[in-house]
Amino acid sequence: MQFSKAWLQEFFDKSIDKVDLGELLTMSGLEVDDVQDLSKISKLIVVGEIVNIEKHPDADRLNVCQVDIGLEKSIQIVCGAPNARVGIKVPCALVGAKLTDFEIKKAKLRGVESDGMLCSAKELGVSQDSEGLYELGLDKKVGQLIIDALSLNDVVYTLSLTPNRADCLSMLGIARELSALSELPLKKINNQLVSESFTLDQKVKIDEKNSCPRYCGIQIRNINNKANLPAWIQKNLEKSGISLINPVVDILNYVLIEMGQPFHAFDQLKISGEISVRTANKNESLQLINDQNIKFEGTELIIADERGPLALAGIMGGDSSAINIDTTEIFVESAYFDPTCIAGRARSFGLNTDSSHRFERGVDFRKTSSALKRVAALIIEFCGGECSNILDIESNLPKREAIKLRTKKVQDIMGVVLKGNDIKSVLDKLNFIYSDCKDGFLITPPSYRFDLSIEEDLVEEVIRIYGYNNIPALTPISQAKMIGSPNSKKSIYSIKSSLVNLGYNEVVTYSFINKETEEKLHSNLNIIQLQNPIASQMNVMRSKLWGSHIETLIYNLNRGQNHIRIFEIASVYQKMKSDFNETLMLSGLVYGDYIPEQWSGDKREVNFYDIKGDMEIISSNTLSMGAPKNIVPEIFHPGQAAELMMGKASVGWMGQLHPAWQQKYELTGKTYLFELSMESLINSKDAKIKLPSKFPPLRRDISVLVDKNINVVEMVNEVSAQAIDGVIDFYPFDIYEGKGIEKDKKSIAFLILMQDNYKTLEDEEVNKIVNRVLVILQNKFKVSLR
Amino acid sequence: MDHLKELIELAKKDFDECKTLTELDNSKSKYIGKTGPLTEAMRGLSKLPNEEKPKAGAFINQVKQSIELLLDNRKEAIQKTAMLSQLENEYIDVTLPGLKQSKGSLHPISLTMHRIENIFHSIGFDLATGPEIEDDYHNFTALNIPESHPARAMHDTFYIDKNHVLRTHTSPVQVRYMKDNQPPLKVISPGRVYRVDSDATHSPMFHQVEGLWIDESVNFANLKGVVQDFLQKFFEDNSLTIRFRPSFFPFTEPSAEIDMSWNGGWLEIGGCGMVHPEVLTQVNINTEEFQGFAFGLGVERLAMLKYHIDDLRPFFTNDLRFLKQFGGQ
Repeated sequence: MQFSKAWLQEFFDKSIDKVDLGELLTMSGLEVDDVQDLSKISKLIVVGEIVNIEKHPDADRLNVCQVDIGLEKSIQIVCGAPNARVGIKVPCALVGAKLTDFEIKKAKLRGVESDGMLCSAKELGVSQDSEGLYELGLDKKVGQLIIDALSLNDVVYTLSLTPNRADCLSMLGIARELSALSELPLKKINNQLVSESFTLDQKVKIDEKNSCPRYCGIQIRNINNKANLPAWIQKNLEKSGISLINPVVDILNYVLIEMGQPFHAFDQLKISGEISVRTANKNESLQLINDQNIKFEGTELIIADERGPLALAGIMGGDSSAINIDTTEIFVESAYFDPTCIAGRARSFGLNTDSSHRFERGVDFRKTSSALKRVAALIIEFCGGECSNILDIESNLPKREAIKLRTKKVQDIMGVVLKGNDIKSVLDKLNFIYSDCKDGFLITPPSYRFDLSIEEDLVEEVIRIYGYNNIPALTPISQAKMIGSPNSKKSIYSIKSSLVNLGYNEVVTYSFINKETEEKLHSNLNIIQLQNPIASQMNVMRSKLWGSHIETLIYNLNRGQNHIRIFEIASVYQKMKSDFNETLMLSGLVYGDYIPEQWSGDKREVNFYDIKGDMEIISSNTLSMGAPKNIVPEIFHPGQAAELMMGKASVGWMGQLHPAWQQKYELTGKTYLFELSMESLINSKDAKIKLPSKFPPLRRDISVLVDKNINVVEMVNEVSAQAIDGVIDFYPFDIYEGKGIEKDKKSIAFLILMQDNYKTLEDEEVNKIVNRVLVILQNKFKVSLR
Repeated sequence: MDHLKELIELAKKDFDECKTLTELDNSKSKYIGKTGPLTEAMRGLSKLPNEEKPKAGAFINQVKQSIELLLDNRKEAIQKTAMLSQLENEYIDVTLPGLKQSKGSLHPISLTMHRIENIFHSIGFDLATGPEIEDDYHNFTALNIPESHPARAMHDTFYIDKNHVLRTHTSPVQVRYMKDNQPPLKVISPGRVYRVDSDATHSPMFHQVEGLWIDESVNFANLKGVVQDFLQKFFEDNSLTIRFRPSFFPFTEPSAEIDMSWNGGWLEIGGCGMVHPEVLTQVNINTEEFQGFAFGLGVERLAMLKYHIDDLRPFFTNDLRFLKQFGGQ
């Protein structure tokens, strides 16, 4: 909602200059989005008349204009506007003038001198219209300051209204609000009088009484729709950001902004027979005035004549019955449509009109007829003609039931002890109809308010007028109950910190990704598609974070980073039968050297085991990371991927990006990816702590030859499973293949750490243990001692 | 016996010439070894008359002790020189940078969320999370936003299908929490939210923290108190003030925008209000017995102010040169 201060002033006898309008409206809930002081427009912009035009010698689109600005000699201005022509009067910014975002300087345009600029309405800052030069009336005096010529000694406010405050979508509504806030009395407005010259002969039938509880109409004949409207109508409309169309439409728009009532004018001669307000039939269609052709589903409320649809009720009129400058006879509709029958409808056709915007929020159903009278009076005054009596069909109007407001409820919600009289004074300021009752008041909401239906709504009204600023900030008093933090859950923050300490940088990437990545890289064919994605490369919800992380990798490689270690904890999404599943995942990517290049010189590429080590550090003991039990996802190198297991459940994967993908993404180095469900990481148990033995541990190393394709972890698991007394640790410390070893074998050196809790181990016992280990390995894996 | 006295002089000269402990060891045997002159002299004592024996014996011992002292001194001197030379050789340039893995870092959004969670945790707020693909009921209907209500248009919603959206706020978590827990209750729900919007100040995905406190008598003035207290703690500035501006959210009544004092002006930082009775009724909370408030804060906005970043986009482009600056925060 955009309006000028001068227009608002018309509603008051006393000057509104004294109130801080911006602050007052904002603090009452009508947020002032923008304030534009038109009087700040440069004094170096004057009315100029184009007296001569020649084509620019070196530029097709430019004209060299001679402009009379009231001085002896005209000035020369190069201009590219398509509507530049001899005889029109336009705003002319002289050298030194400051426009909204730049200053006019003397310049040469393609070699021709230009001593200023001719402006569009947008450049001047009076409206958003940037199409060509702003053509001023021919009555304007050449050389006059533009501020005076356009009465720009005014301030334009733009309100960003919340959907509940439909009552302020009009000048009247804002004036009413200002009066309540400032206690300046509203000017008494006399009801407009129009004398009816003939009896209305347009028949109207309301089929949908619930959707259209009130319908008013008037016929006006012999109008001249080429007449000139007075400047005050045009100016107020322009300052409200409304474009001028033709006199009748401009007047309808004027009263729409003034009183908040939407209208529609039909060309009477294009209506055949009775008008009905009814539900559209399926297969009916309508060409709208914006050239959009809509096919009805059979649920829409329409205005129709005997031939078919004329208008989409409360939203937009049809092309066939639209008025134009040649129209002489009109039927003007002023209706009250129920918000629920308009709400969402305009949006479903991709429309948002001044009319639908108001109807879906609620229009004052007590002003339907008086607003129409105002329209008729203005049309007759400026376009001539005579009018009929007013048709007024009323049924099932909304009821305004009295709401009880308890003084105690106000106090309980506010946290401020407000007395009955304080509340009374607020209700008086708002001009509400109320009566006293036990514990409080009975209040009947006015017909222009659609946001007052329960006690709490009225509490808000009281606080709003009392002033949100007058509410103190008080610390609550509550029971001091501890909430604790369960030991069975590690905090996500501690897991993140571990990764940070391992040199990882946390990233935050979008949850959406492109469909192709999802299908091919993530091997997911059960896609969750967004109906209205913001961009085609973000059109599905991801089932893995990897695609986003590869994007992040490439983004950083392109910016000279080459040692990349990133992670993210975020949800991944999975489509179920009728629902969706979300799993919180830790996922990450590593690329480049193991450690950043530094002076020590031990440079090597990062490898599988580096990442696996990191996974081992951050994961709890319950996790095992073995050779894949399931098919390796296609994203991975089949020989360098491991499945992360918790018990029998797969909780994640890690591995090297498949060389084919590496090539496709044009990555020069190997890329490692990992993912792990957060649930497997978060769950933890209090560790069972054993006291260390007092006796010294003994170490024996054994070196064995075994088939190359045997996984070392199986050997370790087998030995551990036997739980040999005295063995406290058993692991490989050297693995060797190649020279001196048979081709299909590898040599593994294991370390056996032994200790007894009660005595120092004797040689004999040690040998026995080592032998047992060997026997296990020989039996199961056919190893031979080296 | 006099030659024994000379022996001291000889030994001193000999020892002084030794540069290493091995040389010193070799020299030592010339004087006090098993075949050395002193041992021989001791053996010769038996040939002396008895009355001379004690005196001679004492003399030999005296010489031996002197030589041993010389030996010890020399040994110490050699060790000291060796240590000095070792230290000399082992000097390094301590100004060279340490050898390390690259510096890790938490994302500023994580840091900010963690900070917010800690502050609310300190007065007993529980933490709750919920799904990001939310059903229509929890995202809208249960929050008093019926179908085709104009407020739905305020939300620029991403749709998955007829009944599912990407949640436009973390408020649906409130609803789920109130269904599962009885009042009095205090909870915050941080997380990702989505709106169809993208420019320098809007991102299609961003983060919110929603707070909810339902009790017998927590009121609008308390809401102002809690939000102001939080912002003062978050920015570590006890002179920070807030103002409430009337606004509209279908799930709160009365509702307010929260403005925070900042650089001499006001800055919008979130929305809040008293939970709408309809929302409480939906989750079977008796509105005559309980009332409470809810508030929502934008995490990115708080992070931008805290770290003096005036653009939203770097939070999601993940440029490591940006992210690494948060290492050690």
